[in-house]
Amino acid sequence: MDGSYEFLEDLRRLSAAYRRLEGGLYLLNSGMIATLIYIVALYLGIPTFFGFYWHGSILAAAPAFVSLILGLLGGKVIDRRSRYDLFSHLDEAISEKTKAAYDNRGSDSVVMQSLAEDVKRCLSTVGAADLMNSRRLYLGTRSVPAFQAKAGALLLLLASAAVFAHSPGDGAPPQPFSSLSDLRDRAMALFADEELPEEAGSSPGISGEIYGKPSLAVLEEVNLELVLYPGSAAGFRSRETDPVDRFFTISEPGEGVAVPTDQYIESLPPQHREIIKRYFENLATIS
Amino acid sequence: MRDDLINIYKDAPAIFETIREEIGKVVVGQKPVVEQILVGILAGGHILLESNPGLGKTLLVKTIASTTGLHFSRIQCTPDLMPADITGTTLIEEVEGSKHFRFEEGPIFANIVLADEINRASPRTQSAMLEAMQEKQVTVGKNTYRLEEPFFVLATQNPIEMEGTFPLPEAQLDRFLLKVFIDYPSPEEEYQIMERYTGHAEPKVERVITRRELLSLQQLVRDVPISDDLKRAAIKAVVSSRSWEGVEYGASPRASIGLILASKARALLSGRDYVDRADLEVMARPIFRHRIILTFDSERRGVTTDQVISEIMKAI
Repeated sequence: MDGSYEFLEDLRRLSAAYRRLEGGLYLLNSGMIATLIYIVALYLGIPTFFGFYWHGSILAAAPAFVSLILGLLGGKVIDRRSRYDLFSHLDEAISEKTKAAYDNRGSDSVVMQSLAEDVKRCLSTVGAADLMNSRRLYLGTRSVPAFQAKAGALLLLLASAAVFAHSPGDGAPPQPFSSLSDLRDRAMALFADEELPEEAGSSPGISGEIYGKPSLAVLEEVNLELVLYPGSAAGFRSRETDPVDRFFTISEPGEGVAVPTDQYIESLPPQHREIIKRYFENLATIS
Repeated sequence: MRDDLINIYKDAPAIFETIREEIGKVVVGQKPVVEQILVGILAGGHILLESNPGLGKTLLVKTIASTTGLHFSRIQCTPDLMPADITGTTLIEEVEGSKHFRFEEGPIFANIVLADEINRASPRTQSAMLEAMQEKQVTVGKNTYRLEEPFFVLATQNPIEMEGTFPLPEAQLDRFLLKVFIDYPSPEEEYQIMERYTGHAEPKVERVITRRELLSLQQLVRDVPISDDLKRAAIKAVVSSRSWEGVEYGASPRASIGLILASKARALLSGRDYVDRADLEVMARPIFRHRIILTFDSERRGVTTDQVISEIMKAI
C-alpha cells in the first residue's frame, strides 16, 4: 500500500489483524484434519504397528508426522479456496467505498479527499472481530460463536485421539501374528494324523480357558510362546483328575526362567507327557 | 480553481435538489427520466429521448435548459432540413463599401441543442451533426469552428410514426451517451398535468446553476472514485453483449466509457463520493439499449433489448 491518506493506516491495521485471523483459521483447520486422520490411523492400529517394529526410532512417530503433514496440506487447500480478500469481509456498505478509495489512493482530487475522510471514519469503527465472517468458517450464522465452535470441535477431536491412544491394552506391543500363525499351521499339520484315545472326547466339564493363553518355553535358548488355538489340539481334551503336586519356578513377572526339561515333563499330567514331549521334539526340528 | 471545486462539491447536493425542484414546477412526475437527463448533462454526453407524442419531451428539455441558464437552441427536423441550416453558412457582407465573407452561426452553436424529431431529418443532415456531437466543432468550407463548452445535443424521436422518417444509422446512435424512454404518466400525474396547464398561471422556472458551476460539476464527475472491480465489471458487460445469445451486434468500447462516466455522474447526483454496483446496473439500460442490435429471431420471439441488458447485468 502507498499513498498518504490516513485511512490507509486503518487498512494496514485491519489487514494485519485479518492475516492473523487467517493464520489462526489455517491452524484450526489443519489441526482438525490432522487429528481426524490420526484418529483413523489409531483405529487401524497403524501407530501401534510402527511403535512395535520401530520402537525407539523416529519412524515410530511416522503416523503422527504424516497426519500432521496431511492436515497442513488440507488446511492449505481450504485456505486457497477462500482467497485472501480483506474488502469482502468488511460490511457491504463500507466494502465498496473502501475498495474505491484504495484503488484511487493515488488521486488527490476533491472527491477522493472527501471519500478518504469518510472511509477513515468508517474503518475506525471496524474491529478485528468484525472481519470474522461466518462464510469463511462454514459454521453457524454468527462469526464469533462459529469460531469458538470450531475451536471446541478441535479440542474434542484431540481429546478423542488421546482416549484412543491410551485405551487399556493398546500400549502393549502386539504379538508377532504372522510368526505365530505359521507355527500354528505347521503344528496342526504335524498332529493331523494322530489317533486320539477313545476316552478323550467323552469327558464332561471341559473348560474353554485352556485356549488362547500363551505360555513361555525355552528350547535351546530360543523363547517360544505356546498357544493352544481352538481346534489345534486335534480333538484332545482335558478332564478332571486328582490333585497333583506341581513344580513351579518362582520368578518375577515378565522374566522368563528356563526350566530343566525333565522337571517340566514331570510336572505335566502323566497322560499328557508323551504328546507334549513329542510336540517339543517336533518343534525343535522345525525351528 | 481548487477552492472553487471544493465549494461546488460542498454545494452539489443542494444544487441538485434545487434543480429537481425547479424542473418539478413544470414537469410532473418522470423523476427517473429527469435523473437520467441530469446524469447525461453532468457526464457531458448527448441524449436521445424516445417517447410517444405528447409526453413532454420538448418541454422537459426546455425546462432543464432554463434551470441551467445555458444558451439553448431548438432545431425542428424535417426531411427538407439542410446541413447548413444546422451548422451555419458563410454570407457575403458589405461593410463600408468593401465586401467580405462572414460566417453566420447555425443553431448548433449553443450549449444545449434540442434536435426535435431527429429521425425526420435526411441522412445528410443527420451526418452534419456527427462531427459536432463527437468533436464538438463544426467545419464549414475550409474553416473549423469550436463549439462552446458545455455542449449537449438532446434529440427526440417518435417511435410510432415511421413513414417519412430516416432511422438514425448505428454510427450516429453510438454517439449518444444515453437513450432515454419516456413513459406515460400515471393517472394521478396526468390529473396534476391537466390542473397545471388548464389555468391562467404558467409555471416558470428560475436559473439555479451557472455555466461555470456546471463545468465544475462535470469536472467533479470525472474525479469520482470507482473501484477496479467495477471497471472490470463494466468491460465484462460490454464484451458479453457482443457474444450474447440473440444479439446481432453488441456494444462498442464507447459503451464502457459511457457506462463508467454515467455511473460516476449518478453517484455524484446521489450525493455519494464513490461509484457502487447499483450505479452500473441502473445506467446499463440507457447506455446499452441503442447500442445492442438483436437478431431477427429474438425480435420475432418478442425479446426486448432491455431484457437482454438485464440478463447481461445479472450474469456479470
